Amino acid sequence: MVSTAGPDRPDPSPGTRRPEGGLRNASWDQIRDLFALDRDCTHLNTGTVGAMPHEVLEVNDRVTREWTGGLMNVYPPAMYTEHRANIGRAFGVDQDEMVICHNATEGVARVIHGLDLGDGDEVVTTSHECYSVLSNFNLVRNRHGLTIRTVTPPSGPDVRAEEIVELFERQITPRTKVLAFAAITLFTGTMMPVRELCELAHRHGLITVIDGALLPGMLDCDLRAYGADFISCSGSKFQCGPLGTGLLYVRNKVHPEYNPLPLPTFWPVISTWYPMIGSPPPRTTTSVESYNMGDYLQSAGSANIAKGAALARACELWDEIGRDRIELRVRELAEYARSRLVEHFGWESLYSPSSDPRLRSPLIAFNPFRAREDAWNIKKFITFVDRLESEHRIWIRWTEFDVPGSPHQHYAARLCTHLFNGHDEIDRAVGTMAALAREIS
Amino acid sequence: MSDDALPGPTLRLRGPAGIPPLDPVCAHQSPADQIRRLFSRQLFTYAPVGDPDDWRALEPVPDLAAAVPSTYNAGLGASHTCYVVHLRPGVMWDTAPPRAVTAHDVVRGLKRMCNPVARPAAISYFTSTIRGMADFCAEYAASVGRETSDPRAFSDFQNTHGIPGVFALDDETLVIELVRPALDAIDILALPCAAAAPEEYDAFVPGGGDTLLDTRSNGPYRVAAHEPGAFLRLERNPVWNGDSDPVREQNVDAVEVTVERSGNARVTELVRSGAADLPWGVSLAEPRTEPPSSPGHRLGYSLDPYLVFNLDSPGGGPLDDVRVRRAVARAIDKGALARIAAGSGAGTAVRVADSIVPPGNDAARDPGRPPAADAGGDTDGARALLAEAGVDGSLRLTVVHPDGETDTAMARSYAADLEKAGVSVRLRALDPDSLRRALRGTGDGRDRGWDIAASSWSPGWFHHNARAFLQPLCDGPPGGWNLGGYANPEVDALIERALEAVADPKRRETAWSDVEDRVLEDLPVVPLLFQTPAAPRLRGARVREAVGMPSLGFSYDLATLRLSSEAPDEG
Repeated sequence: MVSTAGPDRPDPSPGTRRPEGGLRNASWDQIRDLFALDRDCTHLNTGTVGAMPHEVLEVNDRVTREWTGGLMNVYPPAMYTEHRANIGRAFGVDQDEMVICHNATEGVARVIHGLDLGDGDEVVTTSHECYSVLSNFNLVRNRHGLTIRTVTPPSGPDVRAEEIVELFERQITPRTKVLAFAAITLFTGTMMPVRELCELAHRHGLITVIDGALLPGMLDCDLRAYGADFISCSGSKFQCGPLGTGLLYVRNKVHPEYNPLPLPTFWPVISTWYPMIGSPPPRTTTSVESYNMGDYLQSAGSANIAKGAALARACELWDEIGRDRIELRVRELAEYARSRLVEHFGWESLYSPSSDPRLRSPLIAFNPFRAREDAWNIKKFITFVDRLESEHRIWIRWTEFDVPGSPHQHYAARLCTHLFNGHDEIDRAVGTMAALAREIS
Repeated sequence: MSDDALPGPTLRLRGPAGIPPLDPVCAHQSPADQIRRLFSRQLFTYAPVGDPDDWRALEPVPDLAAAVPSTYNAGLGASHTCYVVHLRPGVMWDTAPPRAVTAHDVVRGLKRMCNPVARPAAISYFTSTIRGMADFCAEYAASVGRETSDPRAFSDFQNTHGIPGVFALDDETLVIELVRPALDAIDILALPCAAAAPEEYDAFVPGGGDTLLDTRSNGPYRVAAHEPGAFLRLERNPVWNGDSDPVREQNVDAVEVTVERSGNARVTELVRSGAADLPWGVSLAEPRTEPPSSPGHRLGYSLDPYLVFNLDSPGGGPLDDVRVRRAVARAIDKGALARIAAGSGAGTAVRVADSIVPPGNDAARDPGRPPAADAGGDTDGARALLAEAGVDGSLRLTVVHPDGETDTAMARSYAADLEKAGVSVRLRALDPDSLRRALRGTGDGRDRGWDIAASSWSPGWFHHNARAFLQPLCDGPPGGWNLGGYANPEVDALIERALEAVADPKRRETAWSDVEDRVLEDLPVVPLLFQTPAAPRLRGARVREAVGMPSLGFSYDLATLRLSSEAPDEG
């Protein structure tokens, strides 16, 4: 195994020192010091990319150097066997169900192309998915002739989870084979009712494909307990690993308490490791795997060993701090930000569901402008985001999405809170945004 | 560029076609599109690429737009119904003083297309695609009558009403919202009729404005002299800047069009002798020993010609009986027409049309399916149908057709076929301008003075072009290319269904076949021949670097060709 632990050093950098009592008891101010993040910048865009801790950078550099020019056997560590086991444990799954991939979009692409779909089969998904979901399903549609039913989920502060589940249910037909949705939508930050949607899928015998890009590092989640078949995650967003890292959960055994359905037929999009004659054993019907699906998906000859180790280190750090503690912090900051946004921009400015606590996430999308029609003026949103960055060193992003019943493409400003944020910078950011929005309006 | 291909002299086009209105709002599939490209620009256009099998010849490129909107440059949402278009900086009108082309000019250009007196032939593509444009068209027609001659009536409507799905965010950016996703939306916006229009165009009735003061240029040339119907001269536009125009150049000093009523042989002689550089208004190919047997490219064919029945008569008539229309189709010997086309010198590959949609179009019938249209040449069969309809021996029809040499020869051929079947035919050969007025001008039904018209139709683009025949020929608001006024709600619904199937390749394939099958039951048009250019267009000895553009019907791009200084400049 490639070690994620650093060598003994006489004078560790500030970002790698451990406070007394360990990270579990460290203050949030101390935890902020773990990150390679300037104190004068306000990073409220973790939904796009996280900030790497110094230790993660250090592991990435060290392992890169260790393996550069060496004559060691590069193939065994490229399977990330122990990293996958350790990371899997943090997310409630086993090593054979966990893959370290390049990012969430690559993971979801490999899932979609591995599904056993054909002419006449139907997929239900939403227009609020990451493009990688929609483009890959379209590719499969072009190739195999399946039908894609795309719904536009409701947005706005008063949306309730039941509306979303009912919306999906109305689209299910006898030909439906797959439900595909984001656990947290990137455009409006809607925390989808994942478990309820998976139970809906179970009732109809459907495969579930979840874009879980934003889950790891944000929530203290048990991937198996969601009851999904596939969850593709980012390693570089809320988990704050290196860019170009992701996690892919592939259900590889049957735990009826979570998902009673048989394992779906799945043709792993592989690089190297798969029988060259014959097939793997039949997929298991029990809680014991019949083969290691994770290995098939993971094996790729040589791999970026350093990145895998750095992602594993990021996950270890989260475990040290406590994923439960992080989730509470992220959510508390989000509710604080939400209240400040409502104070400045009004309840109706929110695109993110907010009344129903089940749908709240730390991604909050809102319209900062007074005029209703500014909601479909992309230029104002681009200006808004650009000026926040260039004039105030505040990083958010704008998003674009459909709104049911509206003929327009809507735009929103979206901020995300994470463990390295603080109340003061949320105050500063929201106040600055209010002044800037008034000026642009 | 060869050493002797130097900028400088005047490019001369001579031929029998008149000079149609220059207003871009009238643009579509006429020789004038070659000229309009010199002074009129759309959001998107096509680059001059010599090889029609080179994808770059078919793929729209940004013209007034800074980029083709896509999901990856935030110009196209995931639902594919909202385009955000940013304009290229530095494109100027040749106004005094020069003024930048704005997003408002593009919006004005799209609104003008809906005017009720001079709509583009392609209007149905737009009204079925852009959100609210169909209603805008209808409201425009209801507010401003077809007989209105006061320009203010048009400009007032346009300036006080909007197309809901088209709006400028500011001078540099506009939004275009669609009714539904359309894979050909950019191609449609690249059609010459979708050109930007300056506010000066409010001063004349759309389709008019042919005085020098009316026409404004944002391209490399501008109108310098115009004698309607006789002569047109364009000279370099001094405010044009090549840095803001990725596809055009400013090589020759001037472009002149001289209308000369003469036959194909005379025009060929003019070009071969050096008295002209290019033919005007007639398709002539470089001489070759025998007609081409295949196109040599994969861009498909045009429906050229076809006959359209006038079904627009308020009182009805014998042509309202589909048996009569079938009799006409059955009587015509299409093989004879194919021989005329093959011998015309146009250098086209010719096939007898067995359907409305030609081979090579995305909606073309599977080659394995039986022919959809009547093979023709069956005089007895035609007589029997006429007898069944109760009009044997009494049917008199007026047929209008273009007055070109080949068109006239074909008209005489099918008129003779109809006479043999017992139909009395009066042929009226019309110059392009008269034909345009007869087919699309004011007046209802038979008041337009024809029962059958000969016409032709080419796809405006060559990829994702399934709608490019059946929709314009059989659907759309008045003023489009549904020349006979054919209306069938069932067909309209089938077309809607086909357009809705855009995202589903399997449904898309069958949906357009269903449309064609239903249309052919009604037979509002008689497909006669499919043709497509298969040989280089005729050009004079001093013409260099001439690129035939599929989007111009394979005519040469006048904006990039050069003239050698070695050949004579006088004719």
